[in-house]
Amino acid sequence: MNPEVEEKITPLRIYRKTISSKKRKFAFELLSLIVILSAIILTGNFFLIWLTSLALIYSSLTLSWAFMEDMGGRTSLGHTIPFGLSAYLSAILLILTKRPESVLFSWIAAGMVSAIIFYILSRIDRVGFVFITFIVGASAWLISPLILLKVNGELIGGEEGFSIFTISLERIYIISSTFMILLFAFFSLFSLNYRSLVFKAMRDDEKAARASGIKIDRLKLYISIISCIPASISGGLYALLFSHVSPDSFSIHIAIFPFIASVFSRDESLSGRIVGSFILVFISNYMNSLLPESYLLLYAAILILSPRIVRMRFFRMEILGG
Amino acid sequence: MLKLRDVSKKFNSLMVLKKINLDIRTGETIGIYGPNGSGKSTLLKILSGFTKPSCGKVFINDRDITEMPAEKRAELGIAYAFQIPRPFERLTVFENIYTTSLLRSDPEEAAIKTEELLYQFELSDVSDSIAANLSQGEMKLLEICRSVATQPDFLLLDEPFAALDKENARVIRRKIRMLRSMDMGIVITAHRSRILEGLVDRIMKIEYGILNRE
Amino acid sequence: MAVSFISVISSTIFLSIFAVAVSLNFRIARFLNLSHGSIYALGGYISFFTFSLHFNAFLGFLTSAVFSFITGAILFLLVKKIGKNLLEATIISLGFGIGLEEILRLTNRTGYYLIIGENVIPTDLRENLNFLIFLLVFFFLLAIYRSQTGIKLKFIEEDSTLAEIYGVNTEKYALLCTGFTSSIIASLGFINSTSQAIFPAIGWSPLISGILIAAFASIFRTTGFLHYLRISAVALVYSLILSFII
Repeated sequence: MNPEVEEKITPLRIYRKTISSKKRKFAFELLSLIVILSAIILTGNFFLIWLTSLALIYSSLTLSWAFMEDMGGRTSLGHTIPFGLSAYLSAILLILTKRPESVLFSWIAAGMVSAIIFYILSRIDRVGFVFITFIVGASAWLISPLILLKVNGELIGGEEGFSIFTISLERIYIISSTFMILLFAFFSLFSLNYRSLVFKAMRDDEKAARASGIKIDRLKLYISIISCIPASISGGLYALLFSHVSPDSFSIHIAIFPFIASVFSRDESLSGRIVGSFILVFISNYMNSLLPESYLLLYAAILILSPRIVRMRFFRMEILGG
Repeated sequence: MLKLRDVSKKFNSLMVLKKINLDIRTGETIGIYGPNGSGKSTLLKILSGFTKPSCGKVFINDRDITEMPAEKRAELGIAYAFQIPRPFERLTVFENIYTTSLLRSDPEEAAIKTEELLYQFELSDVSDSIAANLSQGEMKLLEICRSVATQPDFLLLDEPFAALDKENARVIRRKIRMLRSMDMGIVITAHRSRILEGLVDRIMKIEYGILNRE
Repeated sequence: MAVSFISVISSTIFLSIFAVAVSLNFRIARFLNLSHGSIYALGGYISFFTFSLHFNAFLGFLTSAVFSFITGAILFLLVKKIGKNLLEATIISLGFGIGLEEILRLTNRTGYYLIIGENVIPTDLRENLNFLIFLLVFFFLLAIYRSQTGIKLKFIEEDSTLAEIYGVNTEKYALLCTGFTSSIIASLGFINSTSQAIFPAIGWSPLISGILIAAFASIFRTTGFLHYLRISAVALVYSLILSFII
C-alpha cells in the first residue's frame, strides 16, 4: 500500500468521515421530510391532512420518548404523563381564562412538572423505571375521569372530558409539521454533536460513566426536561387537533405507542421512528375502517413479538457492523 | 498523595476490611494480591468512591474525600478500571476514549489526545468498531485506556489480568510498564504475587480484610 | 361509620387477593403480569354470559377458573418462548393483556358496557364469597409453604437461578403459578363484576392498586407466607387511605 495513503487513514479521520456522512444523511432526510409534508398540504385533501397531522403529533411524541431512550437508556411507558397533563391543562386553562395564549403556559408548565416526576423516577434502576413510569401513567389514566370543573353552575369533565375551541386544520398542520421538523433537526444535530457523547456514555453504562467523571444526576435532569417539554407540546397539539380532551390522552395505547413505533426502526434512527409512527397511524386508521379499534390487536401482537424483533435488529447490527 | 486511614468495611455482619492504612504516592506502583473475597476489590471501590467505608477516612492531598461520590473523585484525578470491563457498549472505541478525554480538554485537543492514546494502547486498528464487538483482551485494553484518558494522578486497576490468556496478559503487562513512566500512582490487584513481580514498586498481601506488607 | 368500616374491610379483602396474585406471579414466575387486568375482565365476561344465559352459576365459576388457568398457561409459554428477562416477559404480558382485552371487546359488540340485569349475587353473598376466596388462597399458601414444595418456592423467591442449579424445576412452578394466579383473578372478576358495569378495561384499576400494594409490601423483604400476610396489612392501610380520600 502507498505509505502516504496509509498515513492518512487515522482514527480521527475515520471518526470525522463517519460524522460527515451522518450529517449528509440527516440533510437528505430533512429535505425529504420537508418536501413530503409540503406536498401533502398542497393536495388539499382534508382527510389526508388531518391524518398526517395526527401522525405528526404522534411522531413528535415518539421523538421525545426516543430522546430519553437514546440519550438516557431509559425506556418510558409513561410519556402519557406530559402528553395528557398538557392536554388537560391546556383545556382547563382555555375554559377558565378563554385566552388562547394560556396554552403556551400550560405546555411549559405540564412539561416541567412531568420533567420533575421523571427526574425523581430516574433514580430508580432501569427495569424499575419501566414499571414505575407505566404505573404512574396508568394511574393518571384511571384518575383523570375524576377531573371535574364547575362552569356556569354546570359540572363538566369526568369520563366525557372537556371540549375546547376549534382551530383550522391547516393551522394545526403547519404548527405540528414545523414542530416535528424542528424536533427532528434538533435531536439529530444534538446526536451528531460531540456533546451528546457523555449522554450516550451514561446510556450505555451509568457506573462506567461515573468512573469517567460524568455527572449523571445532572444529565438525567437535562434528559427529563428535554424529553418532557416536547412530549407536553405534542399533548397540547393533540388536544387542539381534536378540539377535545378526555381520559384517553393518558390511555395505555398512547403510552405504548412510541415503544411500538420504535420496535422496527434501527438503533438511534430518528427517521426510522418517524416512519414507524406514520405507518402505525395510517395502518391503525385503515384497520379502524374495517373494524373499529381493531388496531389495538396489532399493537398487542407487536408488543408480544417485540423482544424477538429487537434481538433480530441487534443481531443484524452486529453482523453488518452497524 | 492518596491515603486510607483506619478504613473498615462491613457487609451485614461480615467484616470485609479491617482497619486498613495505606499511602499511595504519585509515581509509585503498588501491587495488592490476595485470594477471592479477601477484600481487594472492596479496597479499590472505597478508594474510587463506589463504596463508602463503614468507618475510617480517605484523603487525597490531605483533603477528606470519604463522602465524595465517584464522579467527583474522577475529577480530582482518581481513575478506576473495572475488573470486568464496562465499555460504553454502543459507542465506537474512538468515541469511548474521546468522551472521557472531552471531560478534561476542548474538542480539538481531546480528539488529538484520543488518537495518541489509541496508538499507545494498540487500539487504532479497531477505532471505529462498536465496543460491544471487541474481544476480551481488547476490552481490557479499552478499559485501561479509558481510565488513562481521564488524565489521572492515581490509577486503580482491579485485577487487570483476570480472565485473560497469556498473550493478552503479556500485552496488558507491557501497557502497565508504559503507564509507570507517566508519573501517576498506580494500584494493581491480582490473585497471586507472581504476576505482580517486576511490575510494581511494592507488593502487599491482603487476607481476611487485613493488609500486610510483604 | 359502620358502613365505611365494612367497605374498608371488603376492599382490603379484594385488594389483598389481587396483590397476592400479582406478587406471587412476580416472585415465582419472575415477571410482572400486566395481563391480570384483562384476565379479571375475562372473569367478568364469563360471569355476564353465565347469568344472562341462565347457566348454572357454579359451572360458570368453574369455567372461568379453568379457562383463565389455561389462558395464564398460554401466556407463560409465550413468555418462555419469546422473553429472555423480567422486562421482556412483562412487556409480553402487557401485549397479551391488551390482545385479550381487544378480543373481549371485538367479540362483544352489543355495547361497550355490559350490565347483568338483576342483582344475581346479593352484596352480602358477594362479600362472603370474596372472603371465602381470601381464606382459601391464604390457607392454600400456608399449606404449601409448610410443605416440601414451600421450601422450593422460598428457594425460587430468593434466587431462581440458584434454585434451578440445585435441581428445582423452576419452570414447572412458574407455569403453575401463572395459571393459578390467573384463576384467582378471574374468579374475583366473576364474582365482583356482578355489581358493576362490565367493560374490557375493567381490570386496570384493581391491577394498578394490586401492583402498588405488592410493591409497598416488598419493601419489608420477607419471603414465604409471611410476605403474603404483610400484603394484607398493606392492603388494609391502602384501603383506609382510599376511604379517606374518596
